Amino acid sequence: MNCNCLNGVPYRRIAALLLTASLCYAGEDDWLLPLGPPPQAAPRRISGGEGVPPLPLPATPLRRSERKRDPQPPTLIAKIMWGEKAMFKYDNGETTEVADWNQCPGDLQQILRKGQWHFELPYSCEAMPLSEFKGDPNTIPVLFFNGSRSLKLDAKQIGLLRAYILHGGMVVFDSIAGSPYFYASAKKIAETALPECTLRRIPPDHPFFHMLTDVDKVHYPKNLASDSPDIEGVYVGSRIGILISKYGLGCAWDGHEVPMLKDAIYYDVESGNKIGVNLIAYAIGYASAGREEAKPELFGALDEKHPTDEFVFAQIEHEGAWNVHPDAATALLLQLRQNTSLKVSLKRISLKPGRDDLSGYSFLYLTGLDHFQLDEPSRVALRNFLKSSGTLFINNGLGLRSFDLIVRRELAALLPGSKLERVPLTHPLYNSVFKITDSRYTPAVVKESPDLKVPVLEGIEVDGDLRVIYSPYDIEAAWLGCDYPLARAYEPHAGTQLGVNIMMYSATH
Amino acid sequence: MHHELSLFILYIWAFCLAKPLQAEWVAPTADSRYRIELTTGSNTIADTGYFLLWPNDRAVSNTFLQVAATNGTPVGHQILWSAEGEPLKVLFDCSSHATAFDVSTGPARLPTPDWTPGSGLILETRTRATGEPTNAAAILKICNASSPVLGRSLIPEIFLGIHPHGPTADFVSMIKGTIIISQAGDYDFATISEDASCLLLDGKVVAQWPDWHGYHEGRKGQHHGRITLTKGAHQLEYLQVEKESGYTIEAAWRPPGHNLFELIPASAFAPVAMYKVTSYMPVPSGTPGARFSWDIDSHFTIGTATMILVSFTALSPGQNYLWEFDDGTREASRRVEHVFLSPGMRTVKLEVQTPAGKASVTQKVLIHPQWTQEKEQPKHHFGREMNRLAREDLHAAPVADLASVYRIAADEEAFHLVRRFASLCLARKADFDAAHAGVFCEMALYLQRPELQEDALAEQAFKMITASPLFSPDQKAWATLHLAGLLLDSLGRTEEARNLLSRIDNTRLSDSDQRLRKITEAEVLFAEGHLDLARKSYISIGTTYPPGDTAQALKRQARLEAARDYLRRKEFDSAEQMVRNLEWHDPEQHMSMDAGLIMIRIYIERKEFRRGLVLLRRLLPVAETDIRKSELLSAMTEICLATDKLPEATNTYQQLLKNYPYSEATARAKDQWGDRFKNKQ
Repeated sequence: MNCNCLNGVPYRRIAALLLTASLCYAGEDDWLLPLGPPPQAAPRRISGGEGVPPLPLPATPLRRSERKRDPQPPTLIAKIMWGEKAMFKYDNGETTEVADWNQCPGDLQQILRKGQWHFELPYSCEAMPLSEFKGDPNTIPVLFFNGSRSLKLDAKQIGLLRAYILHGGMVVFDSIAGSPYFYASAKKIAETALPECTLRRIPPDHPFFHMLTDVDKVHYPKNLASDSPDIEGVYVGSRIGILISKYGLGCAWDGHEVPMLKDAIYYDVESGNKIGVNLIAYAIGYASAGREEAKPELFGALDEKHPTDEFVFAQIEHEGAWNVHPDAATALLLQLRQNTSLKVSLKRISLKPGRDDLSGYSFLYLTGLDHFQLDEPSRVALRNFLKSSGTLFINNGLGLRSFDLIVRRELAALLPGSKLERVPLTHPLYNSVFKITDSRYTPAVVKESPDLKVPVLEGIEVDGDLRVIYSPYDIEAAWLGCDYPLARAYEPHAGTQLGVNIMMYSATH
Repeated sequence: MHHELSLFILYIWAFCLAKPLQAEWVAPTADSRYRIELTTGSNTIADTGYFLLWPNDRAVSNTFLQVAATNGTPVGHQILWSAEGEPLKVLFDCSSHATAFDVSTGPARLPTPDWTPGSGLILETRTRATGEPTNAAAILKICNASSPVLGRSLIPEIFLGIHPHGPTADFVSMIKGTIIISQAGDYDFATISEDASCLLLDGKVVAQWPDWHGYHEGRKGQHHGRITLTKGAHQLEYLQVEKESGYTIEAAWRPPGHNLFELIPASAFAPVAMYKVTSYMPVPSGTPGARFSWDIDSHFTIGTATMILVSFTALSPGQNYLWEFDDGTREASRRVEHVFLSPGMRTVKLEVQTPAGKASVTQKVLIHPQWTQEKEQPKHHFGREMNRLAREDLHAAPVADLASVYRIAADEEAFHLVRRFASLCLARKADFDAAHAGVFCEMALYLQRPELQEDALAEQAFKMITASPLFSPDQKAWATLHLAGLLLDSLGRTEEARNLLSRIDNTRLSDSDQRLRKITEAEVLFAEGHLDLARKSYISIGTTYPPGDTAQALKRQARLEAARDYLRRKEFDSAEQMVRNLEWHDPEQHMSMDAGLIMIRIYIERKEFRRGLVLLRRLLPVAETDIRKSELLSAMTEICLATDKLPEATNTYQQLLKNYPYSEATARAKDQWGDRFKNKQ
């Protein structure tokens, strides 16, 4: 039994129910506290008019109340019930129940309410144990875990999470008081669920930080002298499939701090709310893209053969998020087949320069979202590819600045002395199939560069020919026809035409 | 025998005591006489009596009456309220406390002694004049300036929440009566009202609550005043000014020795005895007449349409009765109930077969809602009437009735009646006047609902609007635009739609309809397969928000997600609303597969196969991926099967299998229809 006094607020946990020693790590039980301020005593009712009954009122016409009901708002988030419960007694005598999964009961309702104001659409949340979760992203787009003590899931439960994420769902972990125990357990679950993907810190220019409001700087009320948000994620395609907040968000959503935990680290109310409404917006905005990208790539029977005279879309695998828009290439190749006389294989090939033989290919595609690095054997292979009249097309997935910097760095290492130059509108590339004189971009680009009405491609010539083409704005996002909100990208029609022209140019030059 | 005779005389004597003898016909210019009798439970010591009279033989403005004791001696009376089509409300001198009187009516003045009623709390309401009721004087000024008078009624106490003479909005209430003070002393009076009110005693303002307000802050008698009253009768006045809707008036008092305010009870006011007409007698020498009374029992209002239940009772004795109503229906009993399908001045004819011959009367009756009805009639009341309306021949009914029933049926989603009454309205389109023709605008849109899909009737309604002189050029332009949309989206008649659009005078369209016209023009291009031109047209219309507004772009995505969710939960109307909203704000979404696939699924689920097919054919050329193309072909197969277009279904299914053998949609199609197509082969 503890008896403490933190920040002038006395508290005492009087009983921890259902706790078993095997489930708890030393020290982490101290984090299982109600996180809001102690309840205030109810004010005394004072009324001068008490004791005087009101006069009766005459009957007034009653309207029929059989109007059509509005449908229930869609469910956006399920908060997963996990862990154990305990009773907690404040020094003022009030008692409350606290649960691992629900240290701040009002968190989701509050942030959804704030999100509703932005969207002019209501969304709802529900609480459920993982055993009742069916794993369908269509019915529940986001799964939410928060808490302070270690979250432990068995292999079956982690398998369920993996399937859910790969089908388009999003899992969010909020270490609600910045507890290292919950954070470490969330990371472990993420690594186990998606071992093929790396947990990365979400870069500041990622759409997540700009969906409805710009989250450039944040404030932590105590224990952390930083002004940067610390959000990590696992990319699945173009979107964040798993998101982990190392520091507490939920209490800020409910409009309060965490007074009773000395070591708590959390966002202040303003910062937490900004991140929260962006999280809601991101979940809604990328739900459709998630489901669309989760569909398997489809090929006609003929394309499963390997004819030698067909244009093949070969994509470079690298250590980062190399497969930003699964299935988008096939969609573009279909357009290429329909709009040109080019023989096109719809089957996309993925390969690693330095490991796989590049000699059979005339076109290589590289895309990503953030960090990647080519090792020396890869560079050598790519140089040879370019010298042999191959074309390397690099696409900036979601148009992120962080990826832009990496691309320029890697190209400088790949082709020392060369520099990316803007491909002029007079270049044959813009006429190879469609005559492209102008272009349309997503709202994020329009907001940033309202006057930009032409396509922007940069390139490097090798032996006098354009062999490296780089698009700083996401072209691939356009090919599936999906919306990727806040992505700095081309609109579907413009991006598809530009993509077809690039393929055609590469195949014929 | 002698004993039997005595018994007979005794019987006659007892009969004469029990039932007053009919007086001789003393009013030579009268042509009708009614017997009125004290109602059971009514006050028997009142000096003032009250009754309702239905003088059927002529307009009330030409009706004169005389109230007389049963021995023929006239007594004084005062007509409290008379209006065409309504019963007369009459106060009379009943200081004799007789239980029965005779009322004679005729076309010329009848001898009547002067008389002023000494009892009765009378409510008069008028349409409110403008002005701010900042104090009692201002309230009085507004009341006096208000007109016309909407009605006068006898009320038991000042305790009303419903306006008894019309809709409860924008009127003034002026109440006058005599209050009897049994104990002299200091009295507190309070007014509780919605909006401004004041209470006067013997012409002096005692309590007031000026300005516009609700009633809650006065429910404990906060707005009160004190007056010293002597024992005896005092004149009470209560004035109230009602702005907009809502109505509550209440007068309370705290007599000497009481701690709390209470409603001034009815017993505090000078009493009135209530009489009612019990029989009718025609002029002895004239032709037999027929007379009837009526009561507005209840009403059922939906939106702007109201149905009213009225009961009619023949006052003339007879063997057979025949009622004829102006909607073409007939009834045949002494007391009948009739539902009028719309309010207004209606004509009712009663024919009575008496021993003296056939008598008949035709009467104008003002049918209006039962203003004091507290609750709307429950659904089953309407349902019963709907069954009658579905059967009865109403080809000759007033067009106001047809329009009213159509509106109620539409609001209640009684689709079989919507079909019937829309057809009846269209068949009688030549009889409509400007006051009721607006129903065609409503039905032209409503008939396209998925539950009805009466596109041919909708087309007729639109064409009626465009051709009829009852509609303004603006309405005609509106109808032409929406007819083009119907032809394009539902009937696939693209060329006709294009021609109609080219004929619209843009200046006659509202801003939103101008935008709709542009969208429809782009849709024509889309339907004709001019994809680039269509896209350019959609883009040129522009979004309703700046192109760089990222939050709006997110809202678009949110609406799509909500639409999918509603679709999954079979909330099709809400799903469609989301997509329509999306397309309105960003017209290019008409070419988006995301929105299109949702709409197609909605059409299939709602069995709007024609619209689904039109949209499918439009979208096929813009499908970006094999996944989308296969989804479209699968949907097309489903629609063709549902509409028994087997050759087309087979062809589409084969195309799906051949071109997209590995798609999810193909796999689903094989599961669902594989055996069916195998059997066909």
